Amino acid sequence: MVKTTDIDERQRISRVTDYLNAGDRKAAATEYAYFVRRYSQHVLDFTVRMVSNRADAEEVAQNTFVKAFSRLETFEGRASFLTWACRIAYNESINHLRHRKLRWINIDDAQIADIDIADDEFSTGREERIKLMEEALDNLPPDERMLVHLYYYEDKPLNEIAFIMDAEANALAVRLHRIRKKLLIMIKQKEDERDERRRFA
Amino acid sequence: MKETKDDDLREALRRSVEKRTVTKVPADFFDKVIGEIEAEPKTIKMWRWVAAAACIALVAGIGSAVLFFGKTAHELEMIAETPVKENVEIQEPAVVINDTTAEPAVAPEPKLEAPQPKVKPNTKPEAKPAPNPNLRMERPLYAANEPTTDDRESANSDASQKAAQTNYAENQIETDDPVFTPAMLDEFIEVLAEFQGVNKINSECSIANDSNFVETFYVFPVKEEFDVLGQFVQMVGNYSNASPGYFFNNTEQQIFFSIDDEQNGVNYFWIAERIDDSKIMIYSVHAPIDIEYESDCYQQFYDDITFTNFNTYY
Repeated sequence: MVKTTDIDERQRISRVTDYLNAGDRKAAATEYAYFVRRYSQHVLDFTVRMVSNRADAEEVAQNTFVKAFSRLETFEGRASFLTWACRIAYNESINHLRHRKLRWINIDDAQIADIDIADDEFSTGREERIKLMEEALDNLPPDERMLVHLYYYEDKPLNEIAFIMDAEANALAVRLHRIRKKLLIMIKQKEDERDERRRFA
Repeated sequence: MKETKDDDLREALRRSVEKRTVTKVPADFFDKVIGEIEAEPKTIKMWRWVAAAACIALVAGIGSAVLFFGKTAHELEMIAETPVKENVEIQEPAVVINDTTAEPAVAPEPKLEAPQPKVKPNTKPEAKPAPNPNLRMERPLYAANEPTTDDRESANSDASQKAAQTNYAENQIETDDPVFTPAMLDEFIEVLAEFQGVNKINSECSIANDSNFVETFYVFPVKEEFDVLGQFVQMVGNYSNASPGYFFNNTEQQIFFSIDDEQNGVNYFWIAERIDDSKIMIYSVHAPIDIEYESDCYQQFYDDITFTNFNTYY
């Protein structure tokens, strides 16, 4: 379930918009400062996971709060302010990455279909597999890495992730399923490479 | 096996997060944000933009005037100076200016292909019959022999011709646009099953040694907070009824959905059925398109789970 903004935050947002409508920008900024103080670390953590580069992540996080301020009148309270801010942060991060045109490893979807690797097919033990999984996660595109992080690490429900990423929950479920398969393929490839190297060492 | 992989993933994420040094919010972050917010919105000096737009319009106007008047004058010269001779073959333009004697050449009308007949799905629910546990799939009989190479080739060429006329089958996935292939519904059901901890059951009574014919069953528990049938129907709604082989129908107890994947030559068929107050079964079968088959597996499995302790499958 997507959390609705608690009463205190809704009242604050209401006051900010009232000040803005009255033309008192300074008072609106002072009221809004509460949200910046409270959520700046969380939003920065979010943007760092998306754009990796620290300086860029700070810039994107700043832009997030500025944009959220300018759009406060559109905030409906269906989600918490933090979830709503994360949605803005996600879009800002994606725009930032598009401008940088980074390339990520992308496995053809055709390889993913019908792949089901059994445990006994891995040549490494669990510890090694987890290390390979970490490497594979780093190679995922940022949006897929974020999806996996929000779902498996932060345990967010799909509905909330769907709001942040502006996607359908069902489509995200299928995407998660495919990402898992993709990770398994990447691990298998890394294992095969490692075995090859050992053979010729 | 699935739990192991999920645990590996969670553990990998946890270690990855731990290793990453926490990026602390810089000391001036707050001041920068508030400073930017407090600053008055920049007034756009309109006159500069208007002047720039005017310059551009002027340059564009002069350029197009030069091009247009220059060309028109040149064309007029050509028409005036080039008499039409009977022995000289000239290519008549589509429209002849200032020549009222010659009939204007008319470009041939493009050939319109006969509209392809669309599959008319019977989406109206039939008059609600009483639930019939003896219902069989109404599909033609499965051919005992495998299709010959010639048959396959002709089937493939037919399929490739048909593919050009379909909606999703002609979409080559070159962009990030989400195209719903039939296989995605199977994936979605698999995801639903994972979330509910339901195992996939491969039918043992499928036609022996025929990997082209795949039957799968899932048995979901009925839960108030999780509407399996609703999720299934919602996903089905992503497919256009103009898709090849599209068929959708439902009764009180059952939902039928079928669609063809002409790129891979496979027909997909699903039945989602509420067995009783505690179980919902989703059955899927893939088979080559246009191959006739009949399966008793569905009925056998239905009978099994109707009279068996649910936990055997859960």
